[in-house]
Amino acid sequence: IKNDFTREIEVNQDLVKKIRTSRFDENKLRIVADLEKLTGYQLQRTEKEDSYKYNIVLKNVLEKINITEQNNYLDINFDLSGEIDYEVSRDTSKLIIDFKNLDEKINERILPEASGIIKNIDYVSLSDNNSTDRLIFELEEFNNYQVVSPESQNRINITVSRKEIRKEDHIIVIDPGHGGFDPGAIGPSGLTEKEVNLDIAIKVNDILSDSLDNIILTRETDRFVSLRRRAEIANKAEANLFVSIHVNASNKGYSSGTETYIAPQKTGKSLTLADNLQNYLVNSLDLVDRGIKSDNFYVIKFTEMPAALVEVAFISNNREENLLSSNSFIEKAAGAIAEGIVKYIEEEQ
Amino acid sequence: MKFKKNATYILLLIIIILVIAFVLFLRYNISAPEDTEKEIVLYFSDSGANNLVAEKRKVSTKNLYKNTLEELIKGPRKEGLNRTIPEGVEVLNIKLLDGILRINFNESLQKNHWGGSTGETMTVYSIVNTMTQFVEIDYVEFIIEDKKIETLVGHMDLSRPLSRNNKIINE
Repeated sequence: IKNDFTREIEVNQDLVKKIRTSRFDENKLRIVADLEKLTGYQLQRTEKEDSYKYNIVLKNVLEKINITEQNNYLDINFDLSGEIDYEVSRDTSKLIIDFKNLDEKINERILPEASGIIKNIDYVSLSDNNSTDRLIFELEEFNNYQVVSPESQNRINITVSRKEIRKEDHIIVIDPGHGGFDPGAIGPSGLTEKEVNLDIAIKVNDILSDSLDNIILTRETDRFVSLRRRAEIANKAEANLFVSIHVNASNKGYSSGTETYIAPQKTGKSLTLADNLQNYLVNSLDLVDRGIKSDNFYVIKFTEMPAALVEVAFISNNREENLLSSNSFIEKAAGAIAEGIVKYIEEEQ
Repeated sequence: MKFKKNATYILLLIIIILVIAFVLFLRYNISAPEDTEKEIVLYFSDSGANNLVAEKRKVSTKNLYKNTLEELIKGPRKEGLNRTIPEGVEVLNIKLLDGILRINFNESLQKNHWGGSTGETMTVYSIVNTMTQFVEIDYVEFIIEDKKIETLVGHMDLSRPLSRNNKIINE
């Protein structure tokens, strides 16, 4: 490719601001379109004798529907290629999702098979004034639904709870991180993460035992348990929720604060759980609020129920290591985690 | 008249030779970038370990991947950034297959690590994001002393290759 491209083309349209080109290296050229807003795209290639023509079509379409069925709820995810207005409503046992102004009709091939508690999935295209694409999920009776869409606007996440469970019947797994030959992070004056995690977890268990009957700890002593085994314990028990307890570290002492993680593929109820845990921890410990993060963490990813991992404070930070070594702080942290769990269970009823 | 005609032929010949030389020059330059320098991007941790921040550096294109990793291991030059890879880490070997870059590190990456969810994500994504700047690399797989791992220090799932994480970068 020769280097005689126009560097920049001003477009100033509704969708595209400008198009620019730049050379990446000897045999790669990048063409960048600056868009006004998040818009989906599709790439089409046509071949004509010895020339290729690439067409990039900017449009918002429904790309994928993903349904995960857990033992007591259903997680429905819609992936859109751009920002789309939508409305969710209920008609007795039907859950109705209306998409507004999609640029293309929904491709019926992306509709999943009806299975489990889904009896039927219907698609109706209503084009009166402005076009609406309606999906109707016919379910066996369901208790409630919640729209929990995460930060990015091109995914709609809906959780549907199947049936009511009595509060005391909830099975809760508390997972104290690390243990045995794996000390976890070690503070500047030698406090180990594994002992702090276990102390907090045991206190959470004590507090929750007053009102709940089924609490399982993945370890009750200082021993090593693999990540796979931890997820397995929760899955075998068919737990209703999973909370992993950790304290944080970084390579320098400046980092501080509290954060909570969820797995990217489990947003709905896990996000509600994480929200509750993070709020109670931040309010009660009064450390920097580092927010809720979504990452590819083993135990929260492979557990088949709503799951969150809390990082109470930074053991690598002098001041916070000092806090973590005091009994009163451990009790405060455990109290906040227990409150977050109870609040979540109550909200879900 | 005849002299003038000859001169025209000679001029034409010179032009043809120049064109051929130019084409050969271009060709040589494009097909043999043996040991040139290239500007690359390295990602390091900001001081609060909230985000990764880019630092540009030049490396030799011979053994580009290894050179890039070695610069990453050396740590940042910019003020206010922190290293993401512990002391003593060495790259034992690297292999690129079907867009997956498999990096075999020595055990120091695990043994000398400071731990923490934050510490682990900074280390892992500084490596993944740095290496996926090369368009031919889509995923990075972590291997320690020739063995597949479940996790680096107890949080992230490293049993399968990871793709780029742009959310963690602060530009």
